Amino acid sequence: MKTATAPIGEHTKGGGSDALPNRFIHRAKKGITRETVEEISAIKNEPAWMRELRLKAYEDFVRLPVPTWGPDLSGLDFSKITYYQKTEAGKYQSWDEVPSDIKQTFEKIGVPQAERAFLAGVIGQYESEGFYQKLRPKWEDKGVIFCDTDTAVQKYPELVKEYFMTKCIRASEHKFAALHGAVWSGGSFLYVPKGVHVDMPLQTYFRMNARASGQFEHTLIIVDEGASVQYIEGCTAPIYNTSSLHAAVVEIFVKKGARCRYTTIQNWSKDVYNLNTKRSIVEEDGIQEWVGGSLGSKTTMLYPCSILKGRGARAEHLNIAVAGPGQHKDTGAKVIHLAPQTSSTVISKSISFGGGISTYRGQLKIVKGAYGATSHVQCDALMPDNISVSNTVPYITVDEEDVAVGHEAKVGRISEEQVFYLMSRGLTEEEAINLVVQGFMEPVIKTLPLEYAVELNRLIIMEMAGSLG
Amino acid sequence: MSTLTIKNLHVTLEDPGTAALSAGYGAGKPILNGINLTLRQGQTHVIMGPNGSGKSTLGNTILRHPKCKIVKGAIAFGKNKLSSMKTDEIARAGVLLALQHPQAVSGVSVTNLLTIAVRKFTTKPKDFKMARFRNEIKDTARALHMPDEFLSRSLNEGFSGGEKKKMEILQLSLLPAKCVIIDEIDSGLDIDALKLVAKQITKLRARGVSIIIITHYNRILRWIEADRVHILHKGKIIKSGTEALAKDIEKNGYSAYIDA
Repeated sequence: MKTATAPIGEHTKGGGSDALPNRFIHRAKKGITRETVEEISAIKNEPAWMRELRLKAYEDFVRLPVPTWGPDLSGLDFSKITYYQKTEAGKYQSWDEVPSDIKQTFEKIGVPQAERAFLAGVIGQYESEGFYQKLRPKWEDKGVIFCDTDTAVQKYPELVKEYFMTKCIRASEHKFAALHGAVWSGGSFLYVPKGVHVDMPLQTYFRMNARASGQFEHTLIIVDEGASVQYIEGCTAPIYNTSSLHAAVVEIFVKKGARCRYTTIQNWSKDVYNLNTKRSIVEEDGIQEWVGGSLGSKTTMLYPCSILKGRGARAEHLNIAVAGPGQHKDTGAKVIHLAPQTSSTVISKSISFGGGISTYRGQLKIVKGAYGATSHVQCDALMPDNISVSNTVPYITVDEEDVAVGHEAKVGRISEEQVFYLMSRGLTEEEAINLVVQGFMEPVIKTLPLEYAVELNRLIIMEMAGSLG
Repeated sequence: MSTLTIKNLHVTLEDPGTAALSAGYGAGKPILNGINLTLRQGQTHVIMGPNGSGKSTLGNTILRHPKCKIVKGAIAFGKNKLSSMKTDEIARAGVLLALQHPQAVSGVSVTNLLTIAVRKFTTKPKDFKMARFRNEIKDTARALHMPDEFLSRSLNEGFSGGEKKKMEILQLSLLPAKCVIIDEIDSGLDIDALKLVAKQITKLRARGVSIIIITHYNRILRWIEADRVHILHKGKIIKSGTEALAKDIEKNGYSAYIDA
């Protein structure tokens, strides 16, 4: 059987040799002003309501401080970043139409191959905007909408206007949400109509290639009553030495009895500040699953949030964070139980090595009246050496008595005895350590489609190669 | 055909933190003080001795456990000079160890481990018949009366002592072993389980595998034929004999030999 590689991303240690020549047809000036925001909106030929949303968000951005409660963000210079760059005039429906250099970049990471093999639809984004989108006709016929968010603003303005940064994540919440609101570009818009079960994953693949640039894709997913979907996002950037910024927003609406699995594998180069805001509002008996793998980047702040609004709503969070030398991963989960019989499970796995820092930062809130709610949080950290750091910072607020809440945190090391045991079966020391690491991640890996599981394992092992033993 | 030869082996324990090796000894403490042993291909030897005599250290040293430091002497298996090889190289030379206290490996099943391990032994991994090997794993597990679920659970995690021992024999039976060291396989096993394990060891013997059985008791010898029995005391083999020696120890204890 011929297998496709999952398009998670090539490893980025090799340097920027695959960087493409500049081919921008629009490129905003460095730094951000009101004019930058207006320029972006004008290039996109947006309706007035979106332009106003951006300008309002820009005011929030100017007003709000850089958060200081988490990792050090002082290396981030907003004036040195290019906030918008467009490379393609058109949007392609076939890989044959895609310019060959971009096509090659995406072929190298396996996107077209995966699309043929096992995906229901694909969006490719290069720099700030989507350039390729394709949904299998079968799903198009059932009323599924899958396109980049800029296209959605033009084609489905009522839906976008209703849901875009209005009731899930607001620009005024924090500095990066505000910045995102002002300069957002690209991302995916996904609508699954009532009762439609999309049984193949949909994938969007983001590639940030330019130096000192920002990527601010906005993903908006609406899964209507009784429908289900699995959406996968992969992100990479090649290696550069000037700090880049990725500040995405993901808003998900899971309606009554619906189910959404959002999977993201991010493999940024080691100079990227990866600061995202992701949230899902889950209604009665709906299920939201978050599966995340965070590799690469300099600093990552990411705490996907589930708001369990309807009775019986459920959230499952699974996350793997890998922090190597010079990296700081501040990741976790937020779950807000607003209704009775809501339930949540959080499994967070982190690997710190070579002096890397990983922090689990989580919030669990159960309001008065959410009786019968259950929540279980499990944080496992693996540290193969003595120079790395693992922190756990859980915030738990429970205002209802009739609930069941559990929190477990474990820190593990790879012991000499374990390595000896596996070596006594013929595995080399490196293979033994890799197997322990793979075993540690297995609860998250097993939820991924096979191709992604294989690829994520490979990426993590490559990331750690040479840093152990 | 390879002979295991141990010549004048002196070993100290580097870090006695692990009870698995030998409790109660200080760092750098000499544990083995001049072991000589020759095990011809296909022979079965039994090593008996009181607690702390160095039995497990001997097994661990043959596989070059990092805490067992060879200060003098040599170990060879045929042409392979084990005393200067790494643990994995020794295993791939066909010398395997069933550990007294095998480690748990979360998220890795015995099937995972074996399918990775077995390919390390073959020179043509691509020609390896994986489906057939998986069936062999199942058949061997059944022969040991282990439910299939043990093959997919995390290895040794939450297993009882007996289940861990069966897992060790399962692995040794499925990898291409030429010489196996079986460390206290009989402790923690009930009589039915012991019979099943002994049956697997007999199969290894029938295949021509050399076997060292490290044990406190001679009851396993009811089902396994041994060529030699050695008594280890204070890091030295103080007496060697036939199965009759094991029977005598069971009847009269070690004291007759130790005091002598």
